[in-house]
Amino acid sequence: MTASNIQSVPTSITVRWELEFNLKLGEVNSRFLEGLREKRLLGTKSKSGDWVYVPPKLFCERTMEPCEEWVEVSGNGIVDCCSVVYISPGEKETPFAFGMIHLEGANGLMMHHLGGADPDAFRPGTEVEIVWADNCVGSFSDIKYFRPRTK
Amino acid sequence: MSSGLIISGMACAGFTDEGPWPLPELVFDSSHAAMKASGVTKSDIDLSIVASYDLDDGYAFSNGASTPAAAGYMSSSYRVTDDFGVALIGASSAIKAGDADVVLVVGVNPLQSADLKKQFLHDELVSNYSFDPVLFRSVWTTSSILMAMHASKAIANGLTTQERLAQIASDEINRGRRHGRSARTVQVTPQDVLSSQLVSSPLTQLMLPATIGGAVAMVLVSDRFNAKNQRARLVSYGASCGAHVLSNEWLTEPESAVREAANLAYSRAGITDVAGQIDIVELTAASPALVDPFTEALGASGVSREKICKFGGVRSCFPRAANGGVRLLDAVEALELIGKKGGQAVVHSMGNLTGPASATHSVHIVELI
Amino acid sequence: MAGAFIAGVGMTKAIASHKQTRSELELCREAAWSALEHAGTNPSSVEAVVVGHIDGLNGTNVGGRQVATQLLFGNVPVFVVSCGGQTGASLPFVASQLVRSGDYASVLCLGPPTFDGIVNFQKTIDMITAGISPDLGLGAVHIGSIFGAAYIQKHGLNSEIFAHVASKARRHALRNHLAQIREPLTFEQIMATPVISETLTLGMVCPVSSSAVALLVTTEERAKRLNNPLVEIRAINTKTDSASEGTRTDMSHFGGLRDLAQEIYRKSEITDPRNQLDVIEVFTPYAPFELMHCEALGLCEEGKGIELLLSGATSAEGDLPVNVSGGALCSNAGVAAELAPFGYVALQLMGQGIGWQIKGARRGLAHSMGSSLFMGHALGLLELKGELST
Repeated sequence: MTASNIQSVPTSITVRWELEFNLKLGEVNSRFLEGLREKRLLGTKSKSGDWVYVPPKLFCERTMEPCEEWVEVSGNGIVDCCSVVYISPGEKETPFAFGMIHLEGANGLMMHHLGGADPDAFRPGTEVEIVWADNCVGSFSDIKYFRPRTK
Repeated sequence: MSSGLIISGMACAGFTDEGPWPLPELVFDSSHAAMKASGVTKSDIDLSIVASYDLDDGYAFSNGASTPAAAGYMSSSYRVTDDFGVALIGASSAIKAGDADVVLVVGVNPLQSADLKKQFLHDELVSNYSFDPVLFRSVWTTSSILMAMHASKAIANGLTTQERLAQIASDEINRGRRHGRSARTVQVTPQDVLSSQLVSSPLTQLMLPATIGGAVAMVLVSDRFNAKNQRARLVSYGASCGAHVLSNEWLTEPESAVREAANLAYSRAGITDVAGQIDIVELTAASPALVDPFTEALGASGVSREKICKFGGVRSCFPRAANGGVRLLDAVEALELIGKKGGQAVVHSMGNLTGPASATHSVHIVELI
Repeated sequence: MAGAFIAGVGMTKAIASHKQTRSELELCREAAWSALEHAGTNPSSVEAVVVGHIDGLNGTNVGGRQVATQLLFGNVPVFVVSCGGQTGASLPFVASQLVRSGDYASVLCLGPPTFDGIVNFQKTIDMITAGISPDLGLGAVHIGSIFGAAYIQKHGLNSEIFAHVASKARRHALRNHLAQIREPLTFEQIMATPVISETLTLGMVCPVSSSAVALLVTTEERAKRLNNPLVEIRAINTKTDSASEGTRTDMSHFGGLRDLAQEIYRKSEITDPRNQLDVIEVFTPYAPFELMHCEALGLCEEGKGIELLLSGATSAEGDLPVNVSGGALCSNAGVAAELAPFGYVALQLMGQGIGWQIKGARRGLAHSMGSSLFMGHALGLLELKGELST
C-alpha cells in the first residue's frame, strides 16, 4: 500500500457561525454619527459637568448618572501617545500611525489614525486637527485622520 | 444559612415591542433604576455581576460594553455567561463570604431583531452552536428539538397528551397576557396553541418560551448595610447542573437537577412542608411537558395551579440570560399582591441554550419583608 | 472569616495551537484530574466547577458547560465566567467566594484552551466594538503597543527596554517543561525580530498556545486532609477600568491594577510589597506590561520598572522573582494562561516550583488581565500557612 492510499484519520472539523446581528446604535451613537456626517464632532457632558465624553456616552461611568447635555468640540487636540503599525490585520496599507488624542474640550482620550505627514512625525504633545473624509456618510471613518495642526 | 441577604431594589428595562436595544442602554437603564429604587449610589457598590451571552448581545467580549453600565467602573466585577439565577448565587456568596455588602446583579437580553420569527431562528442557531459540533451540531440539534423528543416520549408513555400540553400553554399565556412584561398579550385557546406553527412535533411555537428583550437589575445588600429600602429577603438557594446531553438525563429524568437544587434550598431554609410554607412557585419549564415533572421536583405538586407561574412564566416572558431575574421579580410581585409579610416563594430558573442538558438550575427561596 | 486554600494544581504542557491534536475536553480532563490527583482526592469530592470560556474564540457557544459536565463530577453546579483576559484569574476569585460563603467545601477552577480552533482571530476582535464599528485595522497587539508607546513616551525611555523583559522570560522558560517556547532569545535577537507596531517587535509578543489549567480551591479543613502544604488565598479581587478611551486620560500605567494592589495589600497586611513578597506571576502577553505591572504593584516607582529588572531583582535568582514560569510571553493559551499564574505561584509556595524553586517563598502574587482596552485585572495574594515539612 502506498501512502496515498491511506486515508488520514480525521483530526479536526471546520465549523462556522453564521449569524446576523442587527445592532441598535441607540440615540447617543446615532446622534454622534449624524454629527460626523455633518462634519461636527459631538460629545456628551456628565450631569455634574466634570467630564465631557467624545465620542459621547449615554451615562457617566464614574458616577452612573445619565449624560444629558450635548457639546460640540473643535476637532483640535494633542497627541497623548502614538504608535506606527507595520503589521495589521485590516485592509489599511502599512505603515500607518495611530494614537490616543486628547481633544480640546473633552476629558478623556480618543483613538484614531494619524495622517497627513510621515508616520514617524507624530510625538506625544504634537498638536493635531481633524481631517474629514471627502464623502461623509455617518460612520466613524468619516474622520479620515488627525494631522499636524498647521496654524 | 444566613438570612442576611436583602433585595433592596429591583428594576427592569425593555420588555416592550420597541426592541432591539443597544446592550449598554438596557444594562444602564435597569441598573440606574434599581440603584434609585434601592437608594444606593455608584460608590456604595462593592461588586457588579452581569449575566449575558455574547451571541445574544451581538458583541464579542460583551462584558466590555456591559460592565461599566452595571456600575463596574473601577470596581470589582465579573460576568457569567449563564442565567441571572446563577449570577445571583455569585452575589449571595460574595456577601456571605464578607467580601461585599452591596452587589449589583444584572441580566440582559437585547434581542437582535424586531421580527420575532427572525429572532426565533437566531436563537435556534445560537442553541445549535451551543452543542458539541461533532455529534449534535452537525445534525442540527437545538434545545427545542431536545424538548420535543422529551415531550413525544412523555406522550408515548401516556404521561401526557398534546392537548394537555396545549392546555398548560394556553393557561399560562392567558394568566400572563395582561402583565406589563408579557410578550404574548392576546387571549388564546388550547386550539390556538395547537394550530400555531409546529416547531418540532409535538411542540408548537406557542408551547415554547416567549423570547423577549429586556434587562433586570437587582441591588442585593447584606444586613450589615443599612439599606434605606428593603423589598424582599433571599432566604436560601440551591443549585445543580443537568447532566451532559450524552447522558440522556434530559430525556429520562430532566427534573433530576431541579430536585437536587430544590432539596438543597429547602433544607438550608428549613422548609419541610412546601405546600404549607410556600405561597408562590416560579419555575422555568421551557416545554409544557416539563411543567409537571419540574413542579413535582420542586415538591410543589400539592400547591394550587394559580400559585404557580402567576404571570405566565416563560410562556409569557423569557428574556434568556435575564430569565432568572424576571422569575424572581414575578415571584416578588406575586407575593406583594398577596400582601402577606413573611410570605415565601420558591423560584427555579435556568438558561435554555441546550435545554436541561449541561444547564445549571438555580432554586432561590425569597421572602417578602 | 473562613479562608479559601489552593489544594491542587494541574497543568498540561503548552504547545503551539496549530499543532494541537487533542480536544478541549481531553486537555481539560487531564488538567482537572491531575489537579485532583495532586491534591490527593477524586472527582466525587468536587462540589462546584467554575470554568472560563470566551465565545467566538472558542467555537462552541458557552462550551465550558459542555466540558465541565463531562468530567464525572455529577450534577454539581457549573459557573461559566467570561470577561475576556480577566477571565482566568476571576475563576479563583469566584471559587474563593463560593468556598468562603460556607456553601461549598471544594470548588474546581477550570481554564480551558482558548485559541485552539479560531481561524480568524481578528474577526472576533472586530465584533468587540461593533456598536459604532470603528474599524481602524487594529488588533489586540496594537492596543498592547499603544500602552507600551505611552509608557516609554511618558518616561523618556526607549522601546529597547522591552527586549530585556522578553529575554528574561525566555531564559526563565528554559527550565519550565510546561512552557511552549523554550528557546533562549538574546536582547539583540529580540530587537532583530520584525516590528509589528512601534514599541513591539515580534519577540516581545506572546505565542498562540494550547494548554489547560485547573486548580482545586477548598476550605482549610478540607485542605488539611489533602496532600499539599497549606496555601491560602489571603486576598483576591478584580478591578475593571473602562473599555472606552473617553473615560481614560493616561495609557502609560494600569491605574486599575494600582488601586487593586493597594486593596489586596491592605486586606493581607502587606505594607512593604517589595520586601514582603517572595514570588510574582503577572499576565504579560506583551513585554511592556511586565514593567507596568511591577510599577502598579508598587515594587518600584513609575518609570523605574526597567531599573528593577536590570538590577536582577526580578530574575529567578533575584530576591523578588517575577514570571519565573516564563509567563505568557512563552505560553499563552488564553483562559488557561490567565489561570496559570495562580498555579505556578501556589506550587512555589508548596515548595514544588516548576523549573526553579524560590527558596523560602511564603507569599506571592498571581494576576491576570485583559478584555477591551485591557480594562480588567484580577489579583490574588497567596500565602503559605504553617511550615513546609522537610
